[in-house]
Amino acid sequence: MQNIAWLNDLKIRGGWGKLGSISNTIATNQYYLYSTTAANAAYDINGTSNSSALGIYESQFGNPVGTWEKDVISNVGFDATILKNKLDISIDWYTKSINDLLFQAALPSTAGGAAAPYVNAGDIKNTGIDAAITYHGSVNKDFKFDITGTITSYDNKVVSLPAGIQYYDINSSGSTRIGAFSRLAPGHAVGAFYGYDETGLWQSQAEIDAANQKAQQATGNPNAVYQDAAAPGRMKFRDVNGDGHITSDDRTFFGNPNPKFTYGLNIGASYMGFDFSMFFYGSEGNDVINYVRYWIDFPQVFDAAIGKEAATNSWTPTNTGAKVPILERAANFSNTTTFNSYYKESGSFLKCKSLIIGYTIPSASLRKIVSTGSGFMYRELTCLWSPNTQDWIRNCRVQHLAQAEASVLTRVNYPSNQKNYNIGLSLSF
Amino acid sequence: MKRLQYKFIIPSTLAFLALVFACNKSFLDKPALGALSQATLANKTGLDGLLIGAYSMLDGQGGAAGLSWGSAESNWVFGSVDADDSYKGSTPSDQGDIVPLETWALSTSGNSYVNQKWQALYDGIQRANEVIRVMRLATGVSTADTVQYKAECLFLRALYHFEGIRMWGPKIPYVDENITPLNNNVNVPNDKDITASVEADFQYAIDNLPSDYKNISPVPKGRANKWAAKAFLAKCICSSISTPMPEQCLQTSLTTEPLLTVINMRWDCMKPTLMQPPRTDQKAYLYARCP
Repeated sequence: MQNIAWLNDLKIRGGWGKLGSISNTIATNQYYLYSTTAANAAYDINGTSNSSALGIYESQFGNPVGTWEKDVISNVGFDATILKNKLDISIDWYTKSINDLLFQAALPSTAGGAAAPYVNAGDIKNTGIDAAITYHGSVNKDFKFDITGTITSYDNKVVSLPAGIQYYDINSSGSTRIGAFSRLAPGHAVGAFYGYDETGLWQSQAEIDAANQKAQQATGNPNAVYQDAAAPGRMKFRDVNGDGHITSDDRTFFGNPNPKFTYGLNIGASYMGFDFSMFFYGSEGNDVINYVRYWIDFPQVFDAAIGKEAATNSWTPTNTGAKVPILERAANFSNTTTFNSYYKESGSFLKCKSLIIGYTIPSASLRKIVSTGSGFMYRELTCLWSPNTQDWIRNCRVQHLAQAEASVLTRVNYPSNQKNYNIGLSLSF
Repeated sequence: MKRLQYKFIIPSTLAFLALVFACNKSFLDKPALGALSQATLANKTGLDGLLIGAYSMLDGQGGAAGLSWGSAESNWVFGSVDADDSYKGSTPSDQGDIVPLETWALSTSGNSYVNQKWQALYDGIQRANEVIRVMRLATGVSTADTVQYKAECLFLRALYHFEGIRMWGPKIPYVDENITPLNNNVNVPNDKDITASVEADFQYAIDNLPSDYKNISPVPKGRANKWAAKAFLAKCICSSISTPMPEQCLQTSLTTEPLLTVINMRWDCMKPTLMQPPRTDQKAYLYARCP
C-alpha cells in the first residue's frame, strides 16, 4: 500500500450497537393513577348552583410489564484522504431500527377515559446515507480555500404497530378545527399527511352535474352526489377508491414531511489577513402543511383578515385559473371543514445561513501597543439570502410535532431565524 | 487466626448478609408516591369521591375528548342545535363539524362530535364501574353503604347506556364492571340489543335507592333516588318500542308500573295548580319526566 501515490489515508469502519431507551415514555407508566381535576371530576351533588363536591376519576391505566425499547443501529462507511491531501471523503451508510417501540396503546373507548399506558409494540425503521466531501485548495501562498459539501439522506418507515391497531391519528395545531393532519400507519413514513386529496376547483355546474350522474350510475342511488356540498369554485376531491363518490374512505396519504435529502455547502477562503466563510443549507423533497392558509384564504373562518392571494386572485366565474376557492360565507365539506391537500406546500428550500468576513491584525503592528497577542475583527451576517420566496422559509415558521415530527406551519410561531448583522473584535493576549 | 476472624471473616459475612437480605426483587417495586392509587381510595372517602367523579360525567367533560358543551347529557348539539332550538352561532367555519349535524346532512364518518359523545358516555360508564370495583377492595364500608353505592352506580351506568341507545340505537357495547384493560376484554362487541341489561340496572336502582335524601343535611338534591330511576326506566321502555309514537308508547307503558307511578307522583306535585286528575291519554306521556 506504501506506493499508492494518490491515496494518503484510508479508514474503513463499521459498527453495530443496541441501545435501550425509555425516553419515549413517562416515569409513572407502570401505575394505575387517579386524579381530582375539578373540570373533569367535580359535581354539584347538593344542587347549590354555587359550589361543587370534589370528585375522583381514574386518569391513567398502568403497564406493569413495560420495558426498554431497543434501538439497533448498524453502520458501514469509510474515511479517505486522496490526491495529495487535497480531498477528504467520508461516507456512511446506516440503518436504525427501533424495536419494541414504546407506543401509547390505543384502547377502545369502552375501556374508559383514563390515558392509555405506553406498551412495547411497533417498529420503526430509518435507513440513510451521510456523506461529506472537502476540497482543500490553494491558488498561491496567500490565497487558500476550503470547500465542504455534505449530504444526508434517510428513508423512514413505520414497520408495524401494536396488534389490532391499524393506525394512529396524530393531532397537532389546527386539529381542533379540521381534524388530524397526520396518520401513523405501517408502510408509511412517520408524520405522513393523511386526508382528502384536493385536485383543483369545480369550474362549472355542468362539471358537477356530470360527476353526480356518474355517482348515480355507480351507486344505483338516483339521489347520489359525487361530493357533499360541491359547487363551482369549491374544492374538488379525488375519488381514491373509485366507488364513484367521495366518502371518508377516499382519504389518502398525500405528503411526507421527511426530506429525501438535506445538504450543506461550506465555503472558506483566506487571503493575506482577510478571511471569509459562507454556509449554505438546504432540504429537498419534504412537504409541509401551511395551516396559515386556513386563516388567510377563507373569510368564513372567524372573520379573520384574508391574505393578498385570496383578496386579489380567488376563484370567480371569470377567474377560473385561481388556486384559492371562491370567497363565500358558507362553511362545508367542500371548503373549510376537512383537512385536505389544499394546505400542502413544497417544503424544499435552500438558504445561506451565514456569511463571515474577518481581518486578522498582524501581530507585529499590535506589539507596538501590547507586548504579545493577536486580534481578529469580523463581520457576520446570518440568514441573509434564499432563492425561495415563501415567507415561512425565510422566517422558519415550522412546528415539529412531538410524536410525529410532521411539519405544520402555524400562525402562532414567532419567526426563529432573524437576520443578524454582527460586527465584532476578538482580542487575545 | 483470631485477627483474621475480626478483620476479615466477620465484616465480609455481614456485608454478604446485608447484600442478600437488602436487595430482593420487591426492593424495586415502589408505589407511586404523592399520587392517588386504588389502595388509597379503598375506603369510604375514596368511594364517595369516585362516585362524584361518575356523576360528573353528566356534564360530558372528561374521557379522551369529551367537552362540556359538545358531549353533555343536556345535548346542546344533538338536542337543541339539531332540533333547530338553537343555532350553532359564531362564524360559519367555527366548529364546522356541527354543520352537517345541524343540517341533517352527516355523510362522512369521523365527525368529532359523534366521537366525543361516544367517548364521554363510556368514560361515565367506566367511572361508575370503577366505584364497584374499588368497593370490592374497600374496608370500613357497611353493607347498607355498599348497596347504596351499587344502586347509584348502576343507575348512572344505565343512564349513560340509555343515552347511548338514544344516540346509536340498542345495539351498542354493554360495559359492566368486569370489563377492564387488566382483564383484557375491553373490545366489547355490539352485536346484541342491550335494552334488557339497561332496564335491569335501572330496576336494581329502583329496588335499592331511597325515595329521597331528606334525612341528610345538606340534602344532596343531585343524587339519584328511586323516582329518578323509575322515570328513566319508563323512558327507556318508551324508547324501546319499535315505533315510539306517543300513543303507542303510552298504551304499552301504561300497563307497566314505572310510568304509572311517575305520572301519579307527578300529579301529586302538580295537584295544587291543576285541580284535576291526570288523564290517561297521550298528554300524560309528557309527564313521564324525571320529577
